[in-house]
Amino acid sequence: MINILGIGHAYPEHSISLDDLKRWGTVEWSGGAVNISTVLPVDYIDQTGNEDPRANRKVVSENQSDLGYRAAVMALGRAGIEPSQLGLVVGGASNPSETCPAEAQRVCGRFGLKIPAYDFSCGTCDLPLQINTFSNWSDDRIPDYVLCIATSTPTQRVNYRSGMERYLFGDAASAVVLSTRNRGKLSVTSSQIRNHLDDADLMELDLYDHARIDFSATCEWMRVKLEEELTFATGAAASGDVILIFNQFLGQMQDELASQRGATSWSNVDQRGYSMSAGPVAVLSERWDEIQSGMNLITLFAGAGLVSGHVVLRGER
Amino acid sequence: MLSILGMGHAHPDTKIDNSFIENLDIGTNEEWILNYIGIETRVSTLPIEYISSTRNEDPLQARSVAKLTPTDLAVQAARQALERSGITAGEIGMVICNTATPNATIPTESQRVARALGCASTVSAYEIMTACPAFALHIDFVNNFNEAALPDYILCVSTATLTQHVNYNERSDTAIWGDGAAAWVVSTKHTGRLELVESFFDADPTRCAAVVVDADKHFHQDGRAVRDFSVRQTVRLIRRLEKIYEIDWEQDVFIGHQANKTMLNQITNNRKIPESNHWHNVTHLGNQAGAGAPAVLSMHWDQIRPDQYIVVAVVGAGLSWGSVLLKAGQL
Repeated sequence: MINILGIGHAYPEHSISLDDLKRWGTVEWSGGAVNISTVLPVDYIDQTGNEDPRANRKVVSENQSDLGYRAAVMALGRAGIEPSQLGLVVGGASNPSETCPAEAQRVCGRFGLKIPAYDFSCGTCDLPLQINTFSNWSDDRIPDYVLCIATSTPTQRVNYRSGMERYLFGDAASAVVLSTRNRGKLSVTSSQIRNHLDDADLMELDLYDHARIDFSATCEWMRVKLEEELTFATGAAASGDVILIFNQFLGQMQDELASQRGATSWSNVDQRGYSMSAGPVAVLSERWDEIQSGMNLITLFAGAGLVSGHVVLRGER
Repeated sequence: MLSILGMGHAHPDTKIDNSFIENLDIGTNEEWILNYIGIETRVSTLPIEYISSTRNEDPLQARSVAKLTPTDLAVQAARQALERSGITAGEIGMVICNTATPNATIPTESQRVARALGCASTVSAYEIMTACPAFALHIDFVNNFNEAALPDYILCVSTATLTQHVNYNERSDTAIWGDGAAAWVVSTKHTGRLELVESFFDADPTRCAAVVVDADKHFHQDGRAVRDFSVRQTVRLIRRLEKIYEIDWEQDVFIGHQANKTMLNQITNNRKIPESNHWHNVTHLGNQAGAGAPAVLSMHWDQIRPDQYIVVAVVGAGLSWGSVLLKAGQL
C-alpha cells in the first residue's frame, strides 16, 4: 500500500486579477477564474504582453526549482522526516528553463542529498502515474521515503495579448512524500492512469514559443474523461464522506461535475489558475489540516498528453 | 528476468570533422582535439553551412534549420529496435523516453514518439530522464517492476540534439557533441538476445550544476570536474562488477559513456580491457549524450557472441551514473 505522509505546495508572489485580464483584452470569460498565480511581475505583462516568452526569465520572482523546493520543504515538514531520510526523488517541470539536469536533481541537490533522482513525468497527470508505478514495483526496490515533485510555471509561456491561454494557466509547485512502509495521514485506496494519445495535439507547451491549447476541444475532452475517472474512482472509494478534487482546469466545469454527483469539491483554480500536475495536489496541500480520518478524497486528473487518471485517498488516523 | 529483444540507433548525416573545427579559428586544432578528446568526426542535425556562417550564435534559431528533430531520430532508432525484436509498434505496451533536448515538453517526447510510431493510443508513455546515463536508468527502472505488472514489450528511447546548443565560437564544447538516438525493446515475458544480469543507478544531485543544457542558451559544463568524475566513477562501476561476476576481458565487452575517446582509454587502460573488446562510437559520432552507449550496443548488435558478458557503465549529467550487466544468450 502507498501511504502519503506529507504534501506541500508553493505559489509565486504575483497574481493576475480579472481586472488585469480585462485591461489586456476582451474578457468574455465565464470560466470562473478571478486570480491567477504567476511568477511574472504584473507590470512586466502590462508593458510587454509577454510577447517574447524567452525574455521573461530575468524578471521572474522565482523559477520552477525555487517553487519545487519550497513545496518539498513543506511536504517534508508535514511528513515529519528529515531530507536525509529520503531514498529517491522524482518529478518534473512543465516548462523547465534548463532541460538538463532533471528538475528532480535540481531540487534534490538543494537539500544536499546524494541519492537517486530523475525526472518521471507524463506532463500533467504525474501523481497517478507515480503512484501507479510505485504500486507495481517490488517492495524491496522502493526506498522508505520517496519525494515526488511537480513544478509548473506555464504563465512564462503565455501570450497575454491574445488567446484563451491567458485565462487558464497559473503557476505552482506541489510535493508529496510517500512510503510503502510507513503510515501517514493518507493512504492510497486506488489509482489509475490512462493514455489517449490520439488527441495529444490539443495542448502544447513548446520549449521556446507560446503555449497553445484548443480550448473548446480540450474542455469537451476533459469533461468526458473526468466523468469517466470519477465513475471509476467512486467505485473504488470506501464508505464515508467523499471530497472531490478535480484537475483545476476550469472552475465552472468542476462545479457542474460535482453538482451532478451531489458531492463536495475542493478547488482553488479560480484563485490560482491551471497549474497542470501541481494543481490538484496543491489543493490537497492547502486543505491538509482539514483532512480527517475516514474521509475519501477522490483526486481526478485529465490533461496534456492526453492523459487522465485518478487517485483515491483515504484519511487515516 | 528482463531481456533486451532488439536495439536501434539513428544519427544525422552532417559530419563535422576536425579540420572544420580548426578552421573556425577558435583556438584549437586537429592535433589537440585528437590528443585530448580523441574524436575525429561528430554528426549534427544542423547543416554544415549554417554552423560555418552563424557559429550557432543564437541556439534558438538552430531548431528552425535543423534537418531532423529529436523525435525524428528517436523514431528512426525505435523502428530499427522494433524490427530487430520482430514486433510491431502496436504490440508495445509502454514507451519511456529520455531527452535533454526536447522541442516541446507537452506533449512529452515519449508521447510524440509513441504517436509517430503508430503505437496504440492507450499505450503508457512517459519521461524517465537523467540525460547521459539513461540506458542504465531505464533498465533499472523497468527492473523495479513486479513482472506481472509489466506489458509484454517496453520500448525505451534516448534522443538528443546537443549540437543545436553548442556555441561554435568557443572551443570548450565545439569538438565534443554529436546528435543521435538509440532505442531498445525490453521484456520480462519474452526472451531476447541479451539477458539482464543486474542493473544499477545512483546520483549525486549536489553536483547537478556541473552539466547544464539551458533551454534558451548554449550548453555549458565544468569540463575538468566532469571528466575526472566520469573516469573515476566508471572505473568504480566496472570494478564492482568484476568483484561479483567472472568477467573475462578477453571475451567480454565493455561499453562506456561516449563522452570522449581519451577518457575511455584511461578507463580501459585502468581495467586492462583490450581495444578489441572495447566497443565505442565516439570517435566518429561525438558525444551523443544518453544515446551514445546504447547506440554502440545497437551498432554492434550482430557481433554479440553467445555467453558473452556485456558491461555498460554510463555516467553524466545529474551528476548520475549507472551500470547494466548483460549476458548474451544462445543466438
